[in-house]
Parts: sequence; structure tokens; C-alpha cells
Amino acid sequence: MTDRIPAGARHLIRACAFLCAAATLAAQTSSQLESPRVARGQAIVVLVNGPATPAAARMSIERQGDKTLISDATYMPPAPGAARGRISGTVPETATLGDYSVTAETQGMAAAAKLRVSIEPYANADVHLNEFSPKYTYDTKTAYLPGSTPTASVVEKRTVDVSLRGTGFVAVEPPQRQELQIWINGVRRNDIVWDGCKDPNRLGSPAAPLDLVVHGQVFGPEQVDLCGIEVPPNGELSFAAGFGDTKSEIRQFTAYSMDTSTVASFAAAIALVLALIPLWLLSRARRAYRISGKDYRYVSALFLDPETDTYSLSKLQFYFWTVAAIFGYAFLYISRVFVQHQTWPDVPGTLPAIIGVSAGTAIGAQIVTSAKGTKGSGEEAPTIADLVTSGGVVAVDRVQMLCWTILGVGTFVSAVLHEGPGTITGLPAVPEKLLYLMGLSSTGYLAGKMARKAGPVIAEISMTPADSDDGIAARNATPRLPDVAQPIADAQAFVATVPASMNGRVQTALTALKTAIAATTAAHTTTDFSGLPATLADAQKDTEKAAAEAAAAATATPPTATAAEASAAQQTAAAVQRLSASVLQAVSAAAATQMDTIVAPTLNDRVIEVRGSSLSPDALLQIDHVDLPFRMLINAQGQHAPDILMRDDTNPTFARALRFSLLRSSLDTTDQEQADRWFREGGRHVFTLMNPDGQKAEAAFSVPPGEMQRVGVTS
Amino acid sequence: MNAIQTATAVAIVNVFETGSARGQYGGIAIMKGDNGHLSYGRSQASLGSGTLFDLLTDYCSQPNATCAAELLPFLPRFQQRDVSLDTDDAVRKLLKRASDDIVMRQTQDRFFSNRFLTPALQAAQRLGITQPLGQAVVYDSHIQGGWGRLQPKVGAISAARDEQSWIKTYIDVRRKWLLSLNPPLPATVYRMQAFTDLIEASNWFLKLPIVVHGVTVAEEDLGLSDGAPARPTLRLTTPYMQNDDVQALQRALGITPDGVYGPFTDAKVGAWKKAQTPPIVETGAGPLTRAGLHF
Repeated sequence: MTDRIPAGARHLIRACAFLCAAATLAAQTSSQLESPRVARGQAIVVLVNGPATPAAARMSIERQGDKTLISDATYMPPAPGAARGRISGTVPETATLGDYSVTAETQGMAAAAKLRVSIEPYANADVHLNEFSPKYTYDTKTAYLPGSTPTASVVEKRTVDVSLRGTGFVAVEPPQRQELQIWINGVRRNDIVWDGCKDPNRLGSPAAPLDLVVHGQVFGPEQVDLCGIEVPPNGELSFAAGFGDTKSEIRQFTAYSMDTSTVASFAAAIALVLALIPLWLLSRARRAYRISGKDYRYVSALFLDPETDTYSLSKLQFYFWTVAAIFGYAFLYISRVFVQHQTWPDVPGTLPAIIGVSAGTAIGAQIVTSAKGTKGSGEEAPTIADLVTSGGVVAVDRVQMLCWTILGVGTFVSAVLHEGPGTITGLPAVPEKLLYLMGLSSTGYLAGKMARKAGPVIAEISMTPADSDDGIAARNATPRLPDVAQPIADAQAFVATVPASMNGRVQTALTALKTAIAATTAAHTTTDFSGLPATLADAQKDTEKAAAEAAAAATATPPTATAAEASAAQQTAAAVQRLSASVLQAVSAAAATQMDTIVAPTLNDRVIEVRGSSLSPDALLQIDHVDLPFRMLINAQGQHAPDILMRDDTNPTFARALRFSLLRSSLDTTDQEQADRWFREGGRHVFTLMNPDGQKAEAAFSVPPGEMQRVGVTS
Repeated sequence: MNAIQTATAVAIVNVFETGSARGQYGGIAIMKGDNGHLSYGRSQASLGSGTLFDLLTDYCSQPNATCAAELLPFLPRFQQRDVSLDTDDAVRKLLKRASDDIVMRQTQDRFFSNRFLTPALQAAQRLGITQPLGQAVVYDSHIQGGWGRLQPKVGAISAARDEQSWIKTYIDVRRKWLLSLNPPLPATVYRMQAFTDLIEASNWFLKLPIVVHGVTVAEEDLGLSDGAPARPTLRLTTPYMQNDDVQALQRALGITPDGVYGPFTDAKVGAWKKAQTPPIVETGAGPLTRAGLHF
């Protein structure tokens, strides 16, 4: 309890205590100290009822059983008019600071005076310790201590370095004695090594653990640095400085276990996990969302507006604020519970309001869409530009809402992080004006959505015929198979002429020839014939090798094969070569026939039908971002315009289904060439429909169709 | 391109089409099916397209065409693209026989040159392709077809880094295109592989000999000669030389006259040349061997 009393008050109390003690003694001995606080080299003066004449005197001081005789003790009789005489003696320079019992006596005293005196470093010495600023740190260091036994593992301890600021620190450096006293958590630390904090290895390492020692350095009477102070589990530390038995005020200091980035990381992880839960649920419930043949996974799908296949700004706002709120609250919770060891914190009142605004915006957007129709779907695939555009046209109401959302969320997160985990007590309240602004921004967004015309959306696109000109030509072409009956017959006739008694090399060549004949005979389709040249090439290599070996054998000394065998082998190889050449020629001829249909295919008329919403019959059209002018179209009435197959119920000037017909034969040369580029070969195309107000919709289609041409399907 | 390089380009495409550098002047291919038709000659003049009629008309108009009188009665049927000619054995035999006529060979060379080679070289020149290998690539595209479809996709040479880069790009585009088509066209991608092999060998000037699709093409295979046609040197080639000349050689050597200049015949020729005093040193059975063996 005395630790909480300021130093000045303690001196006062101590003085009072001495006075009381002196008074008590005085009552017994009529002796008292002239001053209860004495510096080294100064005299301790005891007022006693001594004789009226000078006399010898004795004085000693004693502390913790260690008694020192004051050699120069003298007695001075009472001055005229004074009641008491004075026994004085000089405090040795070597005296240790602290509280002492002083004993003084002279002749004629009934008993020796026994009083208490405090020996201080200098006259009127005093010590104060300032409050820490800041009163906490996140910067702790790990010390590596040896285990309790040689085989035990290294023990890790958290330590902290502090700088004590105040006045009256005894700035006399050791080595002889320790004058400055430090109390840490109420314990006087006489074990501090005053060699400074510069040694980088003072905390040891996992490989070279060291005993934990507090190091310190006195920079003057106003600053003392301490390092390597072990942090208790709760992080709370108290410090006091002083000299002798004099102690300064006690100051509190906290070493937190986690810094801002650590807590923020945990909070972000919590927010991420919570965000992943709905994604995981989504992944169990549905397959990937596909637009124009590209899969959009769950993160993208969460932001997609399925009616237009565009990214939704209102959904983005809602998710942003939700994640920011989760992050903020997780940060607060971790800080309060795990860093500050406090209770579960409450949620500030304005945060639900922010969530409410963003949720209301999302719901309001849906209501407006239902009433007015969707925005234009824009480019075929969703892009991030959808957030600020409507049907490919920049919408200022969307721009401002996106900006305010980013600003608001960014400011909120920044404000959360600005409060350290050791000091945060609650989430920063969102300023009411900002809240008002968010509401205004959302209102502007919804009003813009309400004022704008519905934009075109293409839900499905199809083309008839569905295949390219090349594809149709190839499909309609009658398969042209080469007739290789004669080469086969020739080869078989040759086989019949080779005597069965020929040696192994001839038989090897013959086997290869028979294999080639069999493969050729088995070819019945163009695909079969496609692989035949490679098969025959292998057979040709085998027979040529056998012929070469047979020739070498027949011309060796002595010969190991007959001339007839060598001749038969080379004839067999030649027969395979003839068969191979005939087949190659036949395949080339077949390929040439196929090529004819590709080089000059029939050009087919084309009909493109588009189904969706808010499709204007006056829209500008493009295929692959090249204009499809109305002059290339022909409708049922013979006009250069599309056919309206179905009008839009909500707005009769729009259609829900349009047909665009191209009569290839009626196109002029330039348009014909363009149509060739679009339709002659298979591939992927992008159809664009731009309403007169500039909002557009794009849809991709492939020729021939590889999948259903609906825009945005689950796969 | 000089004459040898031009002939080499033609020989390369001949190998692609017929498996032989000189081409199969008598090669006949018949397509099955109701609309089937026959094609004939070194570069597949076909009944269905009318080019076979044009070729035969050209041949029959030559004064020394030995088979002209026999072919003339069939010309109206060729003009009408009469598919019954596909199975007319007499016509096939007649066409085979006509291919042995030097006039038919010269007619085919001129005919296919005018129809394919000249336009191809002009197209290459217009584009700025000057290197023989590039011109051979263009010629191949004209023979097989599709040049008009693919060249615009690759663009001008200026679109590529240089001429060689353009040719590489074109070959790559054409390879992918052929593979994307219906059978049997994907099987003909070996043509692009052969060109790629030549590019990897940095043989942009078609220096002979070269190996194309497993067939060795040497200057002797090109049939080039100054003035009167010289009797060719008989030697080991792929495919083997097979003709009456070889048979005569074999008779002179005293071996079975199978008419095939294969490894056994080549070994016998080598042994005979070595046995002469002094030994004859020349490739295969050339003029010295012919003189020594009197064939």
C-alpha cells in the first residue's frame, strides 16, 4: 500500500515517523535529532540533555547489524538560552545509503540516545519517477534461457526494454557500490547489471541460451534505461526508482502480447473464414456459373447479377461493409479479450446503421430492377467496369456510390487500425454525417437507376444454319475414298511369285509386305486412309533393311545367301515401295477432293435470332465488333430491318425477341466479303446490340455451337 | 530461284503427292462413291474438275504424242466428266501407257507448271518471298489448295519480323489448319513437317541433296539436262529405280533381271567397277559403267 504513496509524502511520513520516534525517545531520554536526513560528510546532530560543560561523546550508526563508530563525535554544551547540548559526528563517505539507527551519548546522560536517521546521497535528496509515455508497448523480445536440467529444452521468455524518466536518480556509476535502487513489481532488484543494453547477445539464442539478467544504464539523474525485463503472463509491470530505502512513486507499464498487425491479421483471417463459409455452402449447392463458355467461380458469382451477367454495385457495397464490420468487430474482440484481458465488447450503434444502408441499397436496387427493368448487360462477359457503367455507358450515380463506398470502408478500417489493440475500447463510431452521406449516396444511386431507361439484355442467341459454310460443305460432301484395289492386287500377285523356300531375310521382307497389304485392305474410311501412309512407311523401312541385309549376305565372302534370295528381297522392298507410293498418291487425291469443298464452299444465308429483354429494333448491331449495317438485313416484308418476333410487355417500343436475316446472294461485294469473314469458318463470335440510348448488350456464340447459346448458364 | 531450285521445289511437292521426286506421271487414283472420279498424272489432274480433259487435250494436240490417236475418241467423255471412265480398264491402261511417252511427261510438266507453279511463283513474288524454300511452301499450298484462305490470315511479310519468320508462321498456321479439317486432310500434315525439317536444317536455298518425307532428292533425280536428254545414272535411291534400263544393266551384269536397282544390284555394280583395271570410280552405273558393260 505504501508503494502507492508519492515520494514527497513518503518523506513527510518518514520525517513524522522520525519525529514521533524522537518524541518518544525525548519523552524517555529528552534526546532528538536536529535533522533526520543527513548526507554523507555531513554531521548527525543529536540534541541531548547533557552537561553544561564540554565533555567527551560517543556516536555510532547501525544498519542491518552493521555498526559503525563515528570517530569525530563531540559534545557541545547547550548554548546560552538553549535547553540541550549537541552531540555531533560526521557521516563517513563510505556509509551506505539508507536508514540507520544512531546511538549517541555523553557524560551525565541517564541513557544513550537512540534515534533513527536516514543517510542520503546529498543534502535534501529526493527522487521522482514520471509516468511512462506511452504506458504500453507491443515490442517485446524473446529471451532464451537454459532448461532446468542440462537435457531440458530451452525456455523462452518474453522480455521488454524500458526507459525510466524522472528526477533524482543517483547518477553515480558503479563499480564500487550500487547507489541507484530499482523496484520491479515491488521487488528491489539488486541484480541489475549496469553495463548497458548494447550487447545483442544478452538475450541468448536457441542454440546458446543464457540466464536472463536485467541490464541497465544510467544516463543521468533524469534517465535510466533497463532491458531484458521478464514480462509476466498478464503483461503488467510496475517500476519504482530510489536510493537507500527511499523509493519514488510506483509507475505502471504494460507489455502487450500482440501488436496491431498481428491482431489485424487474426481479424482478417476471421473475416476471411466467415466469408468462406457462404462460399463453401455455395460450392455445395451449385456448379460454376458459366458465361460465354467461361466459368465464373463462387467469388465472382456472388457479385454477379444473374439477369444481366454483370457485376452488381449494390451487392459489392453490401459485401464490402459486411466484411469491414466483421473485421472491425473481430479486431475489437481480440484486442479486448486476448490483449487487454477485458470483457466481450459491445457493437457501436452506427455500425448496424451502415449495414442497414448498404442492405437497403441492395434491396432497393432489386425493387427498382423489378419495376423498371434491368440495366443493359454490356459486354459479353462481366468486367469490373460494370460497377460504374450501365449497358456499357458510364453512369455518374454508380461512380459516386462506388467512390463513397470505397472511401467509407477505407476510413472505417483505417480508424479501427489506428487504435492499437492495447488501448482500443470500442469500434470507432461512424460519424453521423458520413452515415447521412452514405444514405444520400445510396439514394442517388437508386434514383439514377429509377430514372434510367432499361438496357438491353441478351439471354439467348442462335444462328441458322448453326454451322459454318466450311462445316456445312464438309458435312454435305460425299466421302471420297481412294480406290486402291489395283495396287493391292499387284502386291498380292507379287507375293504369290516368291518361293516359300527363300531365306529368313526374304521372309522378313515378305511379312512386312503382307502386313502392308493387310493394312491397305482394311482401310475403308478416310480416317483409315489417313493413318495408312505412316503404316506403310514402317513396312517400307523393314523391307529395305531386309533387302540391304540380303544383298550384303549374297555378296559376302563366302556368301551366306543366294543371288536369287537377294533379288527376291529387293523385289519385295520395291513392291512395298510401289504400294506405298500408290496409297500416298491415293490419299493425296482424296485430300485434294476434300480440299476442293473447303476452298470453294457453298455460301449459306444466315438467320440470327436474339431473345432477351429491352431489345430495341432500332439498335445498332455488330458482329465481332464490326458493324452489321441494316442494308445487309432483310425482313419478312422485304425491308432492310429486323423482324420483331415478340414485343416487350413493359415497354412496347422494345422487343423480347428479334430476328436478323442475311441473304448472302443479295449482298454487294464488300458486304459479301464481310459475311464470308463471319460465317465461312467455324469459330467464336460476339454479337453486340446497342440501343439508341447507348446501352448495349453483348453475347457470344460459337459456330458450330459447342454448347447452348444461352448467355450465362450453369455447367 | 534458279532452275535447280525450281525443280527441287517441284520435286518436293512430287514427293508429297506421289512418294517420288520425279512424280508418278502415270499415277492413277480412283475415288470411290457415286461421285467418284479418277485423277491422273504427276499432280492429280482430275476428271471431276475438268483438268484431266484439259491435260489430255493438250497432249493430243502435240505432234509427236504416240498415244494421241487412241486417246482422242475418249476426249468427249472426259469433257463430259463421264464417271464411267473411273472403271474403264482400257482407259486406265491407255493412260498408263501414255505416261511412258516423253511427250506426255513434257506436257504434264508444262501443264502443271502453267496451272500451279507459275501462279505460285507470281504470288510469292507479289508477297515478297524470295527464298527458294519459301517459294516451295507457296507452290505446295497452290498444289494442295488453301493458299487464298490462309495467306490473308498471316498477312504481309511486314507483319512478321522478316521473310523467314513469316514462312515459319505460315507453316505453323497451315499445320494447325490442316489438323482442324476433316480426314484425310490432317494426314497430309507431313508436308508441313517436311518444310519444318528443312527450316531447322537452315536449308533456305534448297541445297541438294535433301531428304523429304523419307525420300532422298538429289540433283540427278530432277531430270535436268542440257540439250538432248542424257541416259540417267542408275543408282540406289528411295524408292528404288525400276525400269527396263535397270533390267538391261542386270543382264549385262549376269544377274536375275528383276528390273529393280536395289541394294543387291548396287552391290553387284560396285563389285564390277572395282574389278576393272583401273577401277571405275563414279556414282552408281553412270556413263563409264554403261560404256564398260555395253548396255
